Amino acid sequence: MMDLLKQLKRITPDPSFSARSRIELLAQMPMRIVRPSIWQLFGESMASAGALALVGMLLLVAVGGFSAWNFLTPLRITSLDPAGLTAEAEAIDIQIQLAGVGYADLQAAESTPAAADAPLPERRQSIATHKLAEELGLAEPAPTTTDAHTVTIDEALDALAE
Amino acid sequence: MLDGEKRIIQRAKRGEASAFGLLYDRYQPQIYRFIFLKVSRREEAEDLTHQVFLQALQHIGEYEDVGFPFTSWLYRIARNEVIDHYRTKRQAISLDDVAPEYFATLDRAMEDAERRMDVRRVTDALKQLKPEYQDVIIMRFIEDLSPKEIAVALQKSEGAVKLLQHRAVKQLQQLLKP
Repeated sequence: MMDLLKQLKRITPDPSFSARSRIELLAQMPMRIVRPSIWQLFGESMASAGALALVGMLLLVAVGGFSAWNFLTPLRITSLDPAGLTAEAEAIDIQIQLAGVGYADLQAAESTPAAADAPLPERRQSIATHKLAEELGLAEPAPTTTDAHTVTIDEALDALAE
Repeated sequence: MLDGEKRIIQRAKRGEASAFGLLYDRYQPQIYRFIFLKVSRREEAEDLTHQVFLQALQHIGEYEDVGFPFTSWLYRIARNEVIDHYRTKRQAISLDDVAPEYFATLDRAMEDAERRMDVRRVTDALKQLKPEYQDVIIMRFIEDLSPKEIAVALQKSEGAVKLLQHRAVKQLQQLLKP
C-alpha cells in the first residue's frame, strides 16, 4: 500500500499552468523600496566612522612613529633626567679615552725613545737587521733598551759570507 | 528543504521576485499534488494552487521561522484553501463527482496497466477517508513530511498526528481489503 501511495508522487502540474501562474504571481509582487531604519542608518554610520578613526590612528602611528607615542603616553618617569644621564655617559667615555691615550704615550716614551724618534724606514731596517743578527748569533736577544748593540746589514751579510 | 532557505525567505520578504520564484518552483508541485488529491479536478486544483501561492505572497511578511519549515506553513494555507473551497461549494465530494481527467492524470503518471489499477484503488479509498486522515496520509506517505511538520501544518500536537496516522492507515487498509 505504501508503495502504491508513493506512486502518487508522479502526479505533477501541467508545465504551462505552472509557468503562467508563476508569471502572474511575480508580476503582482509589490516593488518595495527597502528603507533602512534609523538604527540601521546609525549602525552603518558608526561603522564608517570607526573605520575612518582606525585608518587615522594607523596613519598617525606610521608617520609619527614612536615620538608621537611617547608624547601621548600617560606613563612618564618624572625622576628621569635624560640630559644629565647623557652628559654623564659622555664624560665617562671621554675619561676612558684620555686615560688610554696617556698610557699609550707613557709606554712609547719608556720603551724606545730613540727608535721612536727615528724615521719609519730606518726603524723597519733596524728591526730587520736585528732579527737577522739574532738568527746568526751575532746579536744579543731582544733589545729592551736604546743602548743595545745594533748590527748593520753589511756586517750581517759579511758574517753570513764567512 | 531548499538550500539557504532562510535567506531566500528573507529576500522574498523584502520583495525580491526572484527569491519568491525559487520558493514557488520548489514547493508548487507538492502543493498542487496535495490539492489535486483532495479536490480531484485539475482546473480546481490549479486555481487553488494559484490561490495558495497568492496568499503566501501577500502574507510572507507574517511568516516567522520558529522551528518549522516553510513547507508546513504552505500546507496550512493549502488546507485552509481546500476547506474554504468545500465550504463554498459543497460539503463533500463523492466518487461519482470525480472528474474523468482525474483518472486521466493518474493514468498518465503510471505506465504499467496493472499498477495503474492498483493506484486507482488506493486513490478511491483515499477519497473515502475523512479529510483529516487524507491530509495525514498524503503528507506522511506521499510527501514524506515528518510528524512534527505535519503537526505544524495541521495545528495539532505531534502525538495527535501519530494517532491520526495510525487510524488513517488502519481505515485505508480496511477499505482496500477485497
